Amino acid sequence: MKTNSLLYRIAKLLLLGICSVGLIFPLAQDLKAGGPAPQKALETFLGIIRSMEFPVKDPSAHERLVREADAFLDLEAMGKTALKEHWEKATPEEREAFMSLLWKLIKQVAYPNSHQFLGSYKIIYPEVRQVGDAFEVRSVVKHSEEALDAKVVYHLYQQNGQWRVDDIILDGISITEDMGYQFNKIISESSFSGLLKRMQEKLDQAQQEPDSKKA
Amino acid sequence: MSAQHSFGRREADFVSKHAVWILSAIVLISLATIPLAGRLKLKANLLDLLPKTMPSVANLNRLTEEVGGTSFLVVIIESPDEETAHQVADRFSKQAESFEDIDYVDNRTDLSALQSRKLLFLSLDGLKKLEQHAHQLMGHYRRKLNPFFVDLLDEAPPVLDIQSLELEEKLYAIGGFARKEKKLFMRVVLLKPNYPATNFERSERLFQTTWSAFEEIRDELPKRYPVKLGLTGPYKTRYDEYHVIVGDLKLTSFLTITFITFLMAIFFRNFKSIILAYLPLGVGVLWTCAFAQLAIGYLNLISAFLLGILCGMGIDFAVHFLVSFSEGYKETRNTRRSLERAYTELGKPSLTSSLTNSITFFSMTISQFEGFKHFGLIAGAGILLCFAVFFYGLPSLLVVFQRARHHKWSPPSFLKESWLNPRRGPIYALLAAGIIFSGFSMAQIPRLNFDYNFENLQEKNGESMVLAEQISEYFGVVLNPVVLMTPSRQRASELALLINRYIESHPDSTFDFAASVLSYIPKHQEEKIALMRQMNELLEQYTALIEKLDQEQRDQVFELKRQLQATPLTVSDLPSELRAQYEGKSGKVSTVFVYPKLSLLDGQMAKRFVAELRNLGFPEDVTIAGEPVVYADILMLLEQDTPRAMLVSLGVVIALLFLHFRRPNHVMWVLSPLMIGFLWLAGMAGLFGLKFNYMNVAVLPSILGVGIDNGIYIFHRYKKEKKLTLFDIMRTTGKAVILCSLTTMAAFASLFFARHRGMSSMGQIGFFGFGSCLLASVLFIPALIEFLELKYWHPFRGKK
Repeated sequence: MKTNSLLYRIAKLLLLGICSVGLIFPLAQDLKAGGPAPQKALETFLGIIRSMEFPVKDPSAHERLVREADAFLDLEAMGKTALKEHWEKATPEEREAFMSLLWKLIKQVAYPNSHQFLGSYKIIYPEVRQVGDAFEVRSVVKHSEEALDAKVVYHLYQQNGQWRVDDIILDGISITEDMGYQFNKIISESSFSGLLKRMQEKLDQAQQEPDSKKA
Repeated sequence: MSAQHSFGRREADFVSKHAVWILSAIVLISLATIPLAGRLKLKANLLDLLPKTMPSVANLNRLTEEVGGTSFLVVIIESPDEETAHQVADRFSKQAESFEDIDYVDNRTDLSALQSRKLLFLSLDGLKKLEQHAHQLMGHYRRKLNPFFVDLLDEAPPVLDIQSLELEEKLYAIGGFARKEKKLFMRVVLLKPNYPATNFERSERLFQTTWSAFEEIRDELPKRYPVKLGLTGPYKTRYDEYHVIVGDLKLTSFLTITFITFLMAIFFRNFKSIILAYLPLGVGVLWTCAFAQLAIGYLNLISAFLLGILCGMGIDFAVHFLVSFSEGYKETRNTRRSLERAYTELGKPSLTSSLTNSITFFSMTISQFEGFKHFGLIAGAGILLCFAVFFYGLPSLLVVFQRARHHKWSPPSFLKESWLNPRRGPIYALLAAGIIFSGFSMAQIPRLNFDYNFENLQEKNGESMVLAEQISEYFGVVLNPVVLMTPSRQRASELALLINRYIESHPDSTFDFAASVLSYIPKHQEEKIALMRQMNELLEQYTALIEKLDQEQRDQVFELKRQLQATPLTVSDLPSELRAQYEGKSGKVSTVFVYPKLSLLDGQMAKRFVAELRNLGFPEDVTIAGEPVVYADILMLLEQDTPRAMLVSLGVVIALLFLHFRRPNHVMWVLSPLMIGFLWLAGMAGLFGLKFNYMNVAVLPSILGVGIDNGIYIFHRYKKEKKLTLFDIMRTTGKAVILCSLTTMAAFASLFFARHRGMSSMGQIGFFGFGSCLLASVLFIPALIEFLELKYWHPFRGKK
C-alpha cells in the first residue's frame, strides 16, 4: 500500500510539474518577445488619455487620470535626451524649473492634443520588438482614409515593475529629436532662461485658451 | 574779238539754227531713259553703305548664310490676362509655321525637355538650399502632427516656394520670352523669315499675314480680355525706316519744288521762266536716275537724298542763264544776240562751276564708304548731265518759245536797287557784324559735336523702335549681339568661357556676357542629379506625411518630386529653334553670341565694343560678324574718308580755280566766301545746337563744291566788268547768285520736315551751310572788297 501511495504521489508531482512547465514556458516566451505586457501597458496608457474629458468637467477625476498617465511617461529621460549638452550645463534650479514646466505643458497641451489625435479611431499593434532592455511597440491609428493612417512607435522600458514611455516616434521621427530641435534653437538664440521663459509663455497661453480649443 | 565772245557767238548760232533738232534729241534720249530710271530702287540697308568685299560685310553675309543671321521679326502679344497672352502666342506660333515667308518660328513654348529639368538650372548651392527647405518643411509638419509635441516656436509653416527659385525666369532666359509688365502680360514670338530684311515687298506681305492670323485668333477668343499685337525687330524697323524715307522723299520733293517755284515766281514774276527752268531740270534729273540705275542699280540711304539736292543745284544754271538772257533782251530786243550775250557771260564760269562741282562730287568716289562713293558718282554725273541739258536745252527752248510767241523779256527785279548802293555806313555795319560772328564762330569750333548714335538718325518714337527698346529693356539683353563663328561646338564653348572669364577680370569691359549653345546646358549635372536623388529619397520617407499636407503644399511637394526625377540635359534636348540660332540647320559652324552692356546703336559704344573684341586676338578659325561690326566699320570709314574727301575736293577746286583765274589772289578771293561760309556754319551749329552725324557730313563736300559757285560767278563778272564796283556787279549777277543759293537752301529746308532724323539733320546742315556761304558771298566779302577800295587800296583795279 505504501509503495502505491508513493508512486501515486510521484505521478501527481510529475503531472503538476509538467503542467507547470507547460504553463510557465509560454508565459516566459511572451515576456521574452515583448508580447502583451508592454503592449497592454501602452493600451492602458492610451486608454487613460482617451478617457480624459475635454473640456474638463470633473477636475478631480481629470487630475487622477493625469497622474495615472504621468506614471507611464519618463519625461525626465525625454527632457534630458532632448536638451543634450544643455542639460549638463544647466544649474539644478534650472533643471528643476525646466522639468516642472515640461510636465505642466504635457498636461496642458500634449494630453488634450493626444486625446484628439487618438479620438475614437481604431488602433492596431502590428509588432512589438525588443531593442536591448527596452521594447518598441508599433501602432497604427486607423483613419477612414488609409493614406492618413498615423504610424506611431512607442519606446517603452520597465522600471520597478512600471512600464514607462521614453520616446514617441511618429512617421519615423522621434519626438525627443523634435523637442531637441526647438530647445536648441531657443537656447542658441537666447539662453536657458530664455527657454524657460518661452515655456512659461506657452503654458500661460495654453491656460488662457478654452479647454474646448485645446481639445 | 575775245575768245569768250567768239565762243558765245558760236554757241548762239548753233542753238538758233538747230534748236528743234536739239530738243528732239533731248526728248528721244529722255524717252529712252524713262524705263531705266523707273527701275531705280532704294536700298535702306546700312550694309549697302559698305563695300561688299569688306570683311565685316562678307562675314555678316556668311553668318546669314550659315545660321540665318541674328535678325528676326519680333511679334509681341500683350494682354491683361496671362493665360490669354500665352494662348494667343501658342496658337499664333502654330499658324505662323505654315506662313510662306517663314523659315521657322521660335516661340519657345515647346519647352517640355526643359520644363522637366528646371532644377538642373539651379546652382549646386541653390539646390542644397532647396534640400534644406524640404527638410524644414517636412520637419515642421511632422512636429505639428505629433500629438505629444509642444510647439514652443510657433513658427509659420515654411513654404516650399518653388516660384521663389525663379525657375521659370531661368527657363525663359533660355527658352522663352514672357514677362509681366504693370498690368500687362507680354509674350514674344520670334519669326525667322526666309528672305533678307531688305526685301520690303515680302516683309509687307509677311506683316499682313501676321496681322490676319492674329485677328483671326483674337476673334475666336472669348471677349473677356483685350489682346494686342506689336511688331518689331530688324525686319520691321528697316521696313519702317524705308517707308519713312520714301515718305520723306515724296514730301521733301514736293516741298522743294514748291519752295523753288515760289522763289522763282517772286524773282522772275512770270510763269514762263519757271516752266523754262523746270523742263530741262526734269530732264536732267531723269537722265541722272537712269545713269544711277546703269552705274549702280540702286540708291542708298545717302544717295537717296541726292535728287532733291540736285534740283536745288541744277536749277542754278537756269537762273543765271535766264537772268543774263533777260538783261540782254532788254538791251537788244533780239533773241540770238541775247543768247550770245548769255553764252559769253556764263559759258566759261558755268562750265568751270559745273566741272568744279562735279569733280568735287567725283572726288568722293575715292572713299571706301559706299554711301559717299555712290553719292559722289551720281551727283558728279548728275551735275554734268543737268549742265548739258541746260546748256543746250534751255537756250533751244528759249529759241522755240520765242519763235512761237514773240514774248517781251524783262530782267527780274528781286532786290531794290537802293539796297545795293554802296554807302560807308552799311559797309562798316556789315563788316563789324561779320567779324563779330566770325569771332563767335571760331569759339564754337572746339565745341562742335559728332553724334555717334545711329538711333538718333531714325524716326523719333517710331512704334517698332519703341517696342525694340522695350524688348531690350524687359529681357535684359540688347537684341543685336556680335557673333563669333567657330568651326565646332566645343570651340564655341571654350571661347564663351574665355570671354566670360575676361569679363569677370575686366569690370570696365563693354561686354555683358557671352553665350554658346552649350551655355544652355547646366553645369555640374552629375553632382546635381546625385543630390536630387538624395532629396527624392528623403521625400519618399515622408510619403504619409506629405499626404497629410494641405492641397497647395502637397502639390508643390509633388511638383518637386516630379522635378527630382530629371535626367541629364543634352544639346539634343534643347529646342531646335534655339540650336538653329547658334548652329544653323546645317550645323557647319557653332557660334558664340557676345552681348554688349549697352546698345550698340551708339556708335562710340559700337566702336569700343568691336575694338575690344578684335583686341582679344582670336585665332584664324574664329570670325567676328554682326551688324554692330558693320556700324563700327561705317564709323571708321567715315572718320577716315570724310577729311580725305574734303581735302581732295578742296584740292580739286583750288586747282580748277587756278586754271580759270591763274592768279593766287583771285583764287583767294573766290575761295573766301566758302571759307567764311564754313566758319559761320560752325557758328550756326553752335548757335542752334546742330550736331554732325554720319549722314549730314555727306553734305559738307557739297557745300564746298556748290558754295564756291557764288564766288566764281560774282568774281568772274567783277573781273570782266572792271569798270564796275563789286556792288554794281551785285545788281545783276548778285541777284542770280542769291536766287541760286536760295533755291539750294530751299531744297535743304524742305528736309526739315522729314520724319527721318538723319535726313532732317542733312537739311539743317545744308541749309545753314549754304546760307552761310550766301551771306558771306553777297554781303560780307563784297563789303570787305568795297571797304578796301574805299581805302584807296585797289587789289583788282590796279591791274587795269
